[in-house]
Amino acid sequence: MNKAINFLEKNTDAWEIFNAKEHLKILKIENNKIKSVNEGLEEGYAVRVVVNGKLGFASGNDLIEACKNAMKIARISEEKIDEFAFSRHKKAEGIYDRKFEESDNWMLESADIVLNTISEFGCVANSTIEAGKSEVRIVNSSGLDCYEISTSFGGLVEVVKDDSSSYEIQESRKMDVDFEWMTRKAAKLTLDGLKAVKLNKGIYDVVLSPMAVHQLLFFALYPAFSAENFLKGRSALKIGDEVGEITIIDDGKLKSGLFTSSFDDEGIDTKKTVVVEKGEFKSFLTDFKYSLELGVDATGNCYREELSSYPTIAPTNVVLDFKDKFELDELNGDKILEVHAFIGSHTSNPVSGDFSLECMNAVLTKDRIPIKTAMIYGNVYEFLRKIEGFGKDVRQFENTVTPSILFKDVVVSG
Amino acid sequence: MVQFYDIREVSSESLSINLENGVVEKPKYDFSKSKGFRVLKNGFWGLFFGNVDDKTGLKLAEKNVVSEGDADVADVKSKGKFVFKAKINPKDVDIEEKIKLLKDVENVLKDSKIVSTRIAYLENVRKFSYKDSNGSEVYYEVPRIGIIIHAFAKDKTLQFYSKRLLKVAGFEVFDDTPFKLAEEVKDVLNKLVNAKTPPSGEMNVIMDSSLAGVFIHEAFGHAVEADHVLQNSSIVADKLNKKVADESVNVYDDPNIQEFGFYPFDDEGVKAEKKAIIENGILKSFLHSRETAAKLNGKAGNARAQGVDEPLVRMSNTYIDEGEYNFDELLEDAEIYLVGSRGGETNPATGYFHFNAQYGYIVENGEITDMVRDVSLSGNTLSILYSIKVGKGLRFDPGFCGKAGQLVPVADGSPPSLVKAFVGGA
Repeated sequence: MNKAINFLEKNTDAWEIFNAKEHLKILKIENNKIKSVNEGLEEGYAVRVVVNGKLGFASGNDLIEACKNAMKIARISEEKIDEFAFSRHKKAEGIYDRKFEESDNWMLESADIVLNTISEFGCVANSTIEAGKSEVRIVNSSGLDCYEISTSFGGLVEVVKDDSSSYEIQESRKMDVDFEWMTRKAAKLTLDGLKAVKLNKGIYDVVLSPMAVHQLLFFALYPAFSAENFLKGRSALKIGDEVGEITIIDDGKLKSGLFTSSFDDEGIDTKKTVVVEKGEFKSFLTDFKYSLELGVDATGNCYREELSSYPTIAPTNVVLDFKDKFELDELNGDKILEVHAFIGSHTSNPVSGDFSLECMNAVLTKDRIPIKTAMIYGNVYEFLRKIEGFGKDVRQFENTVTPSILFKDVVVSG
Repeated sequence: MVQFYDIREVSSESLSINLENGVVEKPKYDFSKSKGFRVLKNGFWGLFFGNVDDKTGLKLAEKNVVSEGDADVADVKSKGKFVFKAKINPKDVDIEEKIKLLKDVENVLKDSKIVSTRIAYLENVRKFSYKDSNGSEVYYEVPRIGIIIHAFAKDKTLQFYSKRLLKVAGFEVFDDTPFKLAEEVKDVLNKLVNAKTPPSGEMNVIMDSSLAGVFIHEAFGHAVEADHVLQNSSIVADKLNKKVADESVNVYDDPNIQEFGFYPFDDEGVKAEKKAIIENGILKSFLHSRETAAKLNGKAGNARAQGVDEPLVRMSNTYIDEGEYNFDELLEDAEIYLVGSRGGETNPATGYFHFNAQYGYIVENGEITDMVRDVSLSGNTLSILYSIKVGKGLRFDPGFCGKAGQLVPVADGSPPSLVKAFVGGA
């Protein structure tokens, strides 16, 4: 790396090297049998440079080649920046599990759990069990040199019988994923689905599971939090807007969070940002460049989806809260519909917040009647005003940390 | 005993440039190379990917054979080389000319209601080398190029609309098409910002070529991927050689067509071939990898991977072939006409699908009337295929298809078609 740094020091106004090493293992179960184990070891570089005040980006396996390509492309860039960020970091907690080195056994044991559990139900399970270790180092011309190692473990269990199916997903920073719970839950929903009946169109109170809440908000709401989207006229939100009574906090330092890190993907300290407080929109999420444009402190939300992705603004762990809580077991009304997951959530409109989503594995709370098909549609900003209460079953599903949420008076089509 | 092994080396060279609100932003180069190794031993697959020599890679893959299984592979051996020769190699075109194209297209979008624009230019060359224990040796180079036009407009509501031109081709693809697409984006957005929300309920729907293409890809194509069949998660698992659609319906997957899903060999080195999926309403075949072909007595050639990831059964250019109805005949029975697609999702195990159109029109007495926004379509695949009326005028739309975390370029095609399905909206 020193050779590259010397080269960049000589030839650029400012520079940044992002180096990622990934070690990934995936075990696959297909049709109730362990089928394959896949392992990958990859390392690469992404380089950003400023030449004559203009920003260029290149990535690849060869660092010197990436440096030269970044300089070449900076020539035609009109994206302006003077320097890269320097930041001190508070260390993130609970994101590395040394047991990764024993993950071969863990994957086989987890597979046995899935297979033993599914044998009780007479269904077919397809599953992936994953363990990953990631090392990131970021060095830049502002004096930043930071390194972090983290792990992730997780799995997906899909259970099928006849024309019914369901899935459950769990991820963790530690080797504590509960494959028995996932398999049981997916199997139960699948068996319920065999008895599913048609739903009459009408107005229902709807309880979305943490998975369904994430699927809805990630595509219809979170893009509006980006300072870049706001500054480019692509966000429906502005500071002070009212979105019901929910509180939404982006917490990049959440202990053991799936998106927790000491620093973001350009080396800025991650932190807790109150995005919405009791319904009032308080803050956009920013990276270094857009924090300067907006004249606010950077929130540490720079994210690279993969090594070759251009760094962009994205949420970390999004923690939801609400004043009123309820017990799921105590809900008892004729017209309460519980939704496990949505199909097609990525089709939501990220600009207007409009969505129309097909429910998967929905059940009427009273008498636990499973439903064949149901569609929920609306606008996410109006939908947030329909929140009646939060459950107590808090879990993290991808970015979102939430319990089940009860929405009042929702139009549902059968 | 090792039954089979293969070694893939994939290198990719990409350039992308964004023009955001008229400013050249996020220009990037990516040059990456990696190798993928698979070993099939005792019916179990061990895989490894990374930049190591062949001997090490195969050893590391074999180390991952940790159990026994019942997998086997179809006995296919292929040799060949294919280098796609573009009329104008994008590398011979100055980057300034590429930026000029973006700026010229952006000029077309200027309009009082348009508040934001993003135009993306993409070019990529995939170089693929393959060898296996059967003695196969394959090499190809295929370029992909295109432009994606995105605009945001505001009046009564804030809306976005996009069109894209993505092809297996060289720079010659940029004739006047990008400008026509930009005009269309502007015109549609002008109406979309004041469009109404759609009605909901089961109705007669005309899907335009683009939406009908997404329908056949999402709702039916995934269900005929033979890995889904073997996982028991396909609604057509037991329907081979049986009627699954109206007898006027013909559906094919053809990687040889020079659309965005083109490939000369699949990622298991098998020569690309057109597959009849449905002919005269009868399910003729599933799509196969070497492994599923061995299990179900099918034909390999549809295994694809993102980079050097594990090859999975995938589609290429999938389409409903020409039907017999004129557009006016379809309109006569229609209640709503849906245009374009913002993506979709299906559950191949249950046959339920859901996708969003980019916009639509209410149809009254055979006439197209008011525009509607944020309209979605859902239903059950098989019941729709039994009553579909396929129109004339097959057109393809490019896209990227996701499966098990891997994206591959595909194209979906269809003539406009009339179906009875569930329409919903905001």
